[in-house]
Amino acid sequence: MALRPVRFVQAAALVAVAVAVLASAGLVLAEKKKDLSGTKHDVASAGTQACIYCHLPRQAGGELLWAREPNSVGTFSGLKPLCFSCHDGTVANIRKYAFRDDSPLHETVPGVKGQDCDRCHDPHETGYGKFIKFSGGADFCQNCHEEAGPGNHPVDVDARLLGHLPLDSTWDPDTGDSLGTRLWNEDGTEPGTYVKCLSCHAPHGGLPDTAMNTMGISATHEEFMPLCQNCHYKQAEQ
Amino acid sequence: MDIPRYGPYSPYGEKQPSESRWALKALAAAALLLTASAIAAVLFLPAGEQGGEAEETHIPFLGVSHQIFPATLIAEMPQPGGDTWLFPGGALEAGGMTFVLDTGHNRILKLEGGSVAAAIGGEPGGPVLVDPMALATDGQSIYVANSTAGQVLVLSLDGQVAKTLDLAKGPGDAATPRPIGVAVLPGGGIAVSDADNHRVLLLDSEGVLVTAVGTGVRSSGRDGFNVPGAMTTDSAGNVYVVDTLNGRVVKLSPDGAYVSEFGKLGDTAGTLSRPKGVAVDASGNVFVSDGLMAAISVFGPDGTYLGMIGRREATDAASGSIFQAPAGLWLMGDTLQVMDRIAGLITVRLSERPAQAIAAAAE
Repeated sequence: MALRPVRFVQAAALVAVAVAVLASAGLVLAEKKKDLSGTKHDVASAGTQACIYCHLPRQAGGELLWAREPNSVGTFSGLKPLCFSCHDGTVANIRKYAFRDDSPLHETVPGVKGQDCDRCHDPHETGYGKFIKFSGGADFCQNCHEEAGPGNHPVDVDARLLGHLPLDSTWDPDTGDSLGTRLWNEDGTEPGTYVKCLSCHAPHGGLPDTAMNTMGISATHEEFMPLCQNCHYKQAEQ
Repeated sequence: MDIPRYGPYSPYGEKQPSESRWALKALAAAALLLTASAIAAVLFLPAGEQGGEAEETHIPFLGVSHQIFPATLIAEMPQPGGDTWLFPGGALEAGGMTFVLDTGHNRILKLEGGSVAAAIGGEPGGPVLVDPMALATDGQSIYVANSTAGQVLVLSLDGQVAKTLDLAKGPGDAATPRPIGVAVLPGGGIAVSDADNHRVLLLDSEGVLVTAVGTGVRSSGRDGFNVPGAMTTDSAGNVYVVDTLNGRVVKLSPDGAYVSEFGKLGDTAGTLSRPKGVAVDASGNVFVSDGLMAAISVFGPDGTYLGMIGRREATDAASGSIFQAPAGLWLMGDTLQVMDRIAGLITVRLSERPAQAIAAAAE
């Protein structure tokens, strides 16, 4: 039976829409699939994919062990248990200062999307190092903290040219981001001589009651301001 | 505007559009799909058959497909003052004392009467602990998996270093061994988990490598491991190894041959998400702590899943967990000692042991 002209137009329109839908969906899926190969989050053995270790496979017909999260309140909830399940010294080195609740940590809201560990990290993001989801290297804070910059302590300056190299150049992230000042290369991706946000601030454990400072600073201790004097020692000696 | 919270289980990543452009594209795709559906409906569906959306629901936990073993919480030892211990990696009883591995502070604490009597590690002339991850004992000595140092330390019960066993690599292994599990074998040998080379190393009492089990790379199946971790032995000398990222416990014979396994990767009853610790009772029942599920799963000697321990209210399936990140396990009489990396030392009394449950079910 021949299609009536109206039906033919309708069918052609449907085919066109279907093709557009499929193309769009394919584009979305293709972009969504992130390649973790070769990254530290590629923990798969041969024949398996890295996805399954966090996106756990449910057994067909199986019953969820918990109807909701086993620990849905408190500081150890949200994404922390998932991250800690590997970063506890077993699969990966223990990140002592990222998980202890008595250590100053950049504000997070457990379980709230975009405000938990995923405020700064995306386990799928491989472009910026340490699975940080922002560009900017050691200045990545500026993606949210727009006030950082003019009017504040200068960043992106070469401390060597200014004669203000810090007295301690030791930086050991495993000691808790709080034992020293570090300088960076111009891109903020490797050690160097440039002052960046992370030269003085440590989102994983700065000193208490500070702006996540790596060393002490206090207006009430004018003769002892290690964070400043670490670089501005010439002035301090006068 | 409501703050979007993760849905149930979405911390495992199911419902997180990680970048807004995806969300926009997904929205666009959804709109197109909706349009196409509408057109199709107009074209092909009789009016009377339209409507009736399917609603996806999670099957609620009913507590009927597996046993929740009654477990009474009888003691918790959280960190007094918040700094007594940090991320404790395990604990054991020896010489009438409790030894707690204070991983976060690179030391071992001796407890007497529920309080800290001494600290081992860091003092001049004492052992140097670097990310110690596991303890074992033969009753006379303490064996420490000193992970980042790539060694097993043998300590006297008063904390002096008796031996330092630097671990040899397995054949063809690339990485320096990183021991995160240790067990003492009945014949005096030692079993060690090498997390970075994905091997179980069987050593003699002097630390000489006897057998290297595993392929040297991340593997599954009968031949390999993917981050072997905590381990224990039974009275016959079989070694039970937590195979962390394969979601199972592997039972090896005393000479390192594969015997059987318990659990598989998943987040449903009877599966393991992130196994951390293992204990075996005299009947061969296997207790496995799951750090991500915050529960202890129990398997029979043949691998049958028997049930779990962990609800605050044993009869209330919706009640939360008594654990946060359970790891080290050991059995003492009718109590199960659990070293929780976050919550501290937790003791639960098991009023119904798995063997009894099996017998009851068989009647």
